[in-house]
Amino acid sequence: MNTLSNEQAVLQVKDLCIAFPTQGGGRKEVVSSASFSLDHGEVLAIVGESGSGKTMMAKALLGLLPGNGFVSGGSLSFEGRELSQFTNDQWQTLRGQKISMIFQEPMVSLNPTLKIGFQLCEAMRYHTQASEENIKKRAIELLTRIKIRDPESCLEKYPHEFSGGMRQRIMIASSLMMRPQLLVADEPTTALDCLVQKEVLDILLEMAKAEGTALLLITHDLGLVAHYADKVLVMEKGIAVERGEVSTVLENPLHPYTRKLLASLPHKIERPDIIEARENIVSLKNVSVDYPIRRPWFWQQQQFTRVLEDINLTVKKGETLAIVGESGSGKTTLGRAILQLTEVSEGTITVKDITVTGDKPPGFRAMSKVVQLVFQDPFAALSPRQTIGKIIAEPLRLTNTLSKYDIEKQTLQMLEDVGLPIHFASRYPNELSGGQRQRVSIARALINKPELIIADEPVSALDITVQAQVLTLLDKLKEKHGFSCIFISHDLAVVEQIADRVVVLYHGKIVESGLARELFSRPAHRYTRRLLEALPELRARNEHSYQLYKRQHTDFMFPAGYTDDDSASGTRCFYQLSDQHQVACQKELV
Amino acid sequence: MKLAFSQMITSLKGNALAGYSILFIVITTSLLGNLFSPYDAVETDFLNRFSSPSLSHWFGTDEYGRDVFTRIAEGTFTSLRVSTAAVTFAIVLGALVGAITGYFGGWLDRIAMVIIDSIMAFPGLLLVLGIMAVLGPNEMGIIISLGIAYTPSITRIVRGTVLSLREKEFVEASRLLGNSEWVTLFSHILPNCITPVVVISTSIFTAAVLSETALSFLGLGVPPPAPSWGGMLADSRNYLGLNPWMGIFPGLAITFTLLAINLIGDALRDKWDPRLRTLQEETP
Repeated sequence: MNTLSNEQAVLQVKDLCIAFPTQGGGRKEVVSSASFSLDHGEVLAIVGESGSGKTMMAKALLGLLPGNGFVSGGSLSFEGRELSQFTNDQWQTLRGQKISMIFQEPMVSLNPTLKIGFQLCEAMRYHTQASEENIKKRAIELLTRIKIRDPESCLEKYPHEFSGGMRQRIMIASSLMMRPQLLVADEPTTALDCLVQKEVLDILLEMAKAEGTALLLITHDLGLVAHYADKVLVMEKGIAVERGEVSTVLENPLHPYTRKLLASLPHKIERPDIIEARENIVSLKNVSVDYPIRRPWFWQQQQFTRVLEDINLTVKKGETLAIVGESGSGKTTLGRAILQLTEVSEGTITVKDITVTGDKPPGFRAMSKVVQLVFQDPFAALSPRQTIGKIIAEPLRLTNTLSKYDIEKQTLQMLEDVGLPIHFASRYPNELSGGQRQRVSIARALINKPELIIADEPVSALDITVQAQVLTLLDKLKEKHGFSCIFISHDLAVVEQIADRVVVLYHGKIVESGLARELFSRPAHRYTRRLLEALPELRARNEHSYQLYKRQHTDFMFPAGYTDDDSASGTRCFYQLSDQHQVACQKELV
Repeated sequence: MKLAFSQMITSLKGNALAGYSILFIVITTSLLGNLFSPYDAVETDFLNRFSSPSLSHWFGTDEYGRDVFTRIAEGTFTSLRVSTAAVTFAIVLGALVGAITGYFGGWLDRIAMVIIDSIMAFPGLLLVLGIMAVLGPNEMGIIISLGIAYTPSITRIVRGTVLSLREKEFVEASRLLGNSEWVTLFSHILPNCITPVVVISTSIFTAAVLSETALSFLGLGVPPPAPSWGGMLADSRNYLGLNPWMGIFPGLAITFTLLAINLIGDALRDKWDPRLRTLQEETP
C-alpha cells in the first residue's frame, strides 16, 4: 500500500469532536478527539460496540449528522479541503461523487419503486455531463464486476427481484459509479448470512482496490477487521483508544479495552463428552413441517412448501445441541415445532416422554415446566409495561401453589443467579440495556426449572463483550440447574464455544451432525466446509496476542458410490464417519 | 408538593401549557358560576330582558332575562359530562371489540369488521340522529348514540395495534408460560394499546363536544329549559341584531374549550405517538 504514500492522504481527520446540544443548553460529546488518516486504496476499519460513536463519525464524513448534531472541534480534511465548515450546497457536490456510502440494511437502502438502472445512473446524471450511453456503459461494467447474472437486463429490474446479498452488491456498484475517492461502508454485511457476507466483502474489497478508492469499514466484527483491513481504529464510548496497523494491534494490543474486546471473542472450550447412556430429553423422528403457500385463487388446491424434511435428532440430558444454518434453513422452525408453536405435518416429537405432536397435543401449560424459550431480540421479548420482577415471577404465579413470600424469594434468587442486582425487580424493561434484558429473558425461562431451554439466536443481537458475558452466564446456569439446551445460531464461532453436539441444516434438511469437536475438526459435507471456511476467525497465540486463523479443510473422500453433491442422482442417506458423526450424501443408483 | 407542581409546569411545553390553562379557567369559572351565581339558570326575569354585559350580569341576559353567564356555566358542565361519558363508552366498547377481533381473528373478526365498516359508511351526525330517534332525546340517548358513532375509530386503532403486538415475542413468551389466551390478551397486549387509544381519544373528545353542541342546536340535546351551548346558540339566532352578546359568549365558550382540548391532544400525541417519536430518538 506504500506506492501512493508520497501523495497527500485522501482523508485526514484530526482531533474530531462531534456533539449534540442538550436540553439544559450544554452539549454532549459523542465523539471526542478522534484522529486518523486514510490513503488511496487503503482500508481502515473502525471497530467499536454500540454507542461507541463509530456511526456518528461516518455520518460526519458525509455531512449527514442527524438532528442538530455538529462537529464541535478538530478538523476533517478531504483532499486538502476542510469539510467541517461545509455548507449544504458544497456537500452536495461532494456526496455521491467524491465520497459515497454503503448502508447496513440492504433491504431498505434501495428505493423499491425505482428500477435498478435508474438508481445506478442517478448520481452520474446529476453530477456529470456524461452522455446517457456512457453512463449506461459504466453501469453495465460495474454490474459485470459485481458478478451479477445478465447485467443488461438487471438495469430494467426492480430491487425486490434480488436477494439481500445481491442488493448489497448492487449498492456497492452504485456507490462506485462515480469513482469516489472515499467509500464509507457502515456495517455493510451485518444483516447477511456468513457465506453471503464473505462474497459481498470479497467483491467490495476487490473493487475498491481496483478503483483506488479508500475504504472506511465500520464494523463490530474483529474477525472481518483482521481479514480485510489494513489499519484499525478502536473506539470506546466516543474515544479512540487505539489505532495502528491491523497486524500490530492484534499481535500486541496495548489498550485494556482492545484486550477486553479480543478476549470476548468466542473461543473454543474443551468439554467432556456427554455419556452415551444418558436419557433422551427430546427426540424427533422423521419430522417434516410444511407451510401453506398463498393460493392465487380460492378454488385452487392448497399448495405447501416443505420447510423441514425428515429430521431425526435427539438431545440428551444436560447436553447442548447447536442447530446451525443460514437464514431460511428452517432452524427456527425446528425450535418452534418442539415448542408446539408450529404444526408438524409428519413425524413425532417427544419431549420427556410426552408426545407433543399428533391429535392430542398437551398444550402450552403442561409443557411450560418442561421446555422454555429464550428469544433473539431482547427488546421485543419483554412486555414494556411490566416490571422486571413481575416478568420473572409470572411463571411462578401461574402454578398457583406458592405463597407470595416464596414467589418473591425465588424471583430475587433468580435475579441474583443471572447476575442482576435485586433492586432491578422494580424497574421496567426500557430502563435496561440489551444484555440486561437478555438476562431477564433467561431468568424468566429458567425460574420454573425446565428440563430444556431452546435458545433462538440468544446472543446475535448483542455487543461482543456482552455476548461473551451472556454465553458464560448460560454455561454457569447450566452447571447449576442442569438443563439441556438447543442452541439455534448462525454464528459458528459461538457454536464452537458452547455446543456439545452440532446439527447443520441446509434448506430444511440435516446435512451433517456430530460431536462439536469432531465436526469442527473434520467437516465432511461440502456445505459445512464452506460455512467453516467463510468464518474469519481470530485465535489467541498467547495471552494478549492474536492472529487471523483461516480454516482449511481437505475434501472428505467418500467411499465409491457415495457423493455429497446434492445435484447428483441417487437416494439420500447418511454416511457414518464415527458412531457420533454422520453426513448426508447421495448414494448412487447402480 | 409545591416543588412537584412547579416541575410539572416547567416540563409542559408552550402549547400544552396554554391548553391546560384554558381548560382550567373554563372549568373553574363554570364551577364558580354554578356554585356562587346569585341567579338561577332557568328562572325568568322579564324586567331584565336583553341586557348587555354589565357588573350585575357579566355576559348579559337573554330573551327571558336569564343570566347568560350562569347558563353557560351550567351548559359547560352538561356538555363536558355528556362528551366524557360518550367517549368512555366508545373506548370501552371499541377497545373490547378491537382487542378480541384483532387477537382471535377468523370469522368473528370478519363479521365485526363488516359491521364496523358499515357504521363508518354513515355520516357521523346522521347516524347519531338515527340512533337518537330510537333512544329518545335525553341525556342517556345522546351518550349512547355518540358512543356508538365513535366506537369504530377506537376499534380500528386497537385492532391494528393488537394485530402487530400479537406477533411480538413477549406475547409468544406469555403463551409458552401457560397463560390462557384471555390472560395474554388482557394482561400483556391491552396495556400496550393504551398510548394510541389515549391519543385518538382526545380527537374523538373534540368531535363529541362539537356533536353534542350540534345536537342541542338542532333541539335534540338536553331538553329545554335546561341550558346547553348549542341550545343557547340556537336561541340567540333570532335576536342577533337586537343583542349579539347572547350568541357571542356561548360561541366563545365552545371555541376556547375545543381549542384547549385540541392543544392538549397535540401535546399528548407529541409525547406518546411512537410514529412521531423516531425522529427525536435518532439524536442520542
